[in-house]
Amino acid sequence: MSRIRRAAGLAVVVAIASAAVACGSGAPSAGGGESSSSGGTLTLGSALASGSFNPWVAPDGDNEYLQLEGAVYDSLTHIGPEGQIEPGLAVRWTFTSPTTLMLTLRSGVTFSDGTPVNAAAVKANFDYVKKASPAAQQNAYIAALTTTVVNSTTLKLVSPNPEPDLLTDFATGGGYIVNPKALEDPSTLATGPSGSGPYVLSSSVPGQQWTFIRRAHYWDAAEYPYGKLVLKSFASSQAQDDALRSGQLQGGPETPTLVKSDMADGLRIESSKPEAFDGIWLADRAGKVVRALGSVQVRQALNYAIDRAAIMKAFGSVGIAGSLVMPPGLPGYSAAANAAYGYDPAKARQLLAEAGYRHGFTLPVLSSPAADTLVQAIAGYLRAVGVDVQISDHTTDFLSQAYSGKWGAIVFAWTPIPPSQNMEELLSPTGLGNFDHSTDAQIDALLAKTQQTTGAAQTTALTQLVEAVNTQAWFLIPGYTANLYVTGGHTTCEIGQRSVCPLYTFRPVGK
Amino acid sequence: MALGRLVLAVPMLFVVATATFFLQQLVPGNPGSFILGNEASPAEIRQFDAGLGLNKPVLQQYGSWLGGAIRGDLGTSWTSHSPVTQTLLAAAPVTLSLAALAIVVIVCLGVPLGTLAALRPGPADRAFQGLAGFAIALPNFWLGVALVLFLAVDTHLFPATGYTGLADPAQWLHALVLPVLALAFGMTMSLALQVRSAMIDVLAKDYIRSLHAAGLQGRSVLFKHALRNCMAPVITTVGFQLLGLLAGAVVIEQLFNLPGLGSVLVAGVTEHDVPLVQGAVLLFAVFVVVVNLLTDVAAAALNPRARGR
Repeated sequence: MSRIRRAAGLAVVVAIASAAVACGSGAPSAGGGESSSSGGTLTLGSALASGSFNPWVAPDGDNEYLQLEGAVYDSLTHIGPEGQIEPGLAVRWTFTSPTTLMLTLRSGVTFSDGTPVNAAAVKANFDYVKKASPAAQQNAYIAALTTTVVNSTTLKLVSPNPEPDLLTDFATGGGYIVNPKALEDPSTLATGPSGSGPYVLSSSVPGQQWTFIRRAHYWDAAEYPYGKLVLKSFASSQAQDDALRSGQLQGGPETPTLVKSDMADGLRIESSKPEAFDGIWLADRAGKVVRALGSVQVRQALNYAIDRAAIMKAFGSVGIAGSLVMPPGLPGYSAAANAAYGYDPAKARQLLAEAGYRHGFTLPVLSSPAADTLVQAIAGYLRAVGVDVQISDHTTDFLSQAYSGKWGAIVFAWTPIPPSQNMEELLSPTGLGNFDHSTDAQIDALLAKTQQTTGAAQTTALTQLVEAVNTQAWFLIPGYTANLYVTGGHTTCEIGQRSVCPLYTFRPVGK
Repeated sequence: MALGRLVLAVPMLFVVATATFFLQQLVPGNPGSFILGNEASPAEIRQFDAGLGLNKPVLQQYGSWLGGAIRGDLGTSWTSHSPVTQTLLAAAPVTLSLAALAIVVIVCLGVPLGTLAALRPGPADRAFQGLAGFAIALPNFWLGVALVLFLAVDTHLFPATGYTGLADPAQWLHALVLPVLALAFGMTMSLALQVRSAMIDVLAKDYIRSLHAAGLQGRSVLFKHALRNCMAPVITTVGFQLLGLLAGAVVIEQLFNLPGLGSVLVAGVTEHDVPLVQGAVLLFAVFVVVVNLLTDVAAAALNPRARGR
């Protein structure tokens, strides 16, 4: 009897375990991995913690929100793999003057309720941006436009300053066109979209998962081969990687430390050109907090003190060395200027001595845990020439600390695309990247020139500006890193120069 | 006794709620500047803060929040703009599923294992003690990573991440196998050691010898008398373990990307979403009170001497 009971108990345990395994292996995985590889469902990981379907109050720029917004809204333009501007809702564009852009829209496109996507709808969006709340997230360049409807498919856009980067803005959060009816009560967009995009929202768990079904009769259906799209939020990059390697996901943002193991497991790594620079902003260029930083010789000494090639090795194949605020391949980059600061500790010591800091000085650095590897590497070289680097980590109050004026040196990262707008944000006394509101007559004049010119003249001005910033050593940049995206073995995408692969680039392998 | 405990729970929850509210006031940084980002102007930040009522005196904010909490309204999330109560109620089933399944595994395996070890002194018992010590020393997140690697990534037997609701019981169970194993393994062995120790003590008592002398069968003595008598300390241990499971779920939910209360809490802290953090902490406190109450009731049911305490 006892043996029978024990056997029965064991049988129950085995049955439960078997049932648990069987119900998993028999049914499609929760992420739909199997159906996706046959072209049915595309399930992507995302760093989205929360998602709004109002693109005008979502964080502006090329970021993780673009997949969520891009699923349900059409953008005016797309950006090709080499950075070229391609048609979206807009099919033609012409700058009739440096400040006037004529835009021609695709005809026959409608929002989900049948409302036409026309020039009046685009104007309604651009006018809405001026009063969107919270205003802090809006694209200031779009908000500054004066929009005139020429006819149902043609718009005249006038900007206060020359804005050749507008066409890039239209593809990176500044050109998703919302149904004007929804903009009459934008609160409706908090839970659901109203757009003309390739997918319609099927269900969502805010902050966790969004499921979309492909829109019937979409005008560009060939670019979206998947009938169903699922975006899943992951707080942990390791959990996302596990989901990818087990087939629950087909793609997601990649972490540099996982590249080798993912490649070994047959996953595909998409890498943009190295275009983001991480480094230390020598923000206190007037020497108000750290007196030594007020000396250009000291700032130059810091730039001579670090071995950029060795530091960037920490980023493996995704990092290259460089000191400029403009990475290779973008207008304004200069190979000669980039070679200006070779690794020369002796010269660093000499410059420090000439500036009156023979015995070094103390440099407090505002950092964050995510940047610690990079900062520690830089700090090691600076300590070798006598600079006592003191690293303070902040997380939740990092930005308020950065703008508090209490720090002479701040760890930060920046992607200067589009170039001229980003130089304005990075260097102007009121720019977001100019923490200490620094001014310099030469830099200010060159910056103004980049904002008033277009074409070759603007590229020349950008090059001169980047060289001047490098000479003044406003930054301590070790190099540039690439944006990475990883896909499962059966899926491909093209990241181009973006932060994540745009939805229209995903394909099953071989198609 | 249960009523007395319930009455005591009210001031306890009040203290937790109050402490949570005022501790959140000490978090550095301005909510408006954090949530609106670095492009926000001071005027926009002031307007945002005013919209949240943060420009009012702290005591007034506290009174308003506490009044809402008493009515079951824990406010609105600053980031998702969803009602906090709704967010927590959506997340609670995930954490409760995880904790409930884990406690079932812990009790169903821990009690028999501990009993067997007590009944088999010698090499088997020593081996069991060694294994239990090893299991307790294993961090649950390490075990979770190993389980994901072998049973999800390599063999695809179980999903590496995600949760399915109880509407599909088979998928629900399937999704929770690995998280439950990771969470329950060490605690199962810990409970087994507790049971073993209690059982050895009870089996050495005079009344057990008397029961054997009176001719009762060994199985009857073991299950009807010895096991029942060693259950009181075991139930207390299980109560503590249940609380430990709720805390451990915070880590395990991150590892398996489960949208439970732990994930909500971590997201709230990361996003500077004070109402969400306050609500989650308060709900965890409610769970602690309920578990303590249930533990006392269960202990009293097994031990009449505990009823009057």
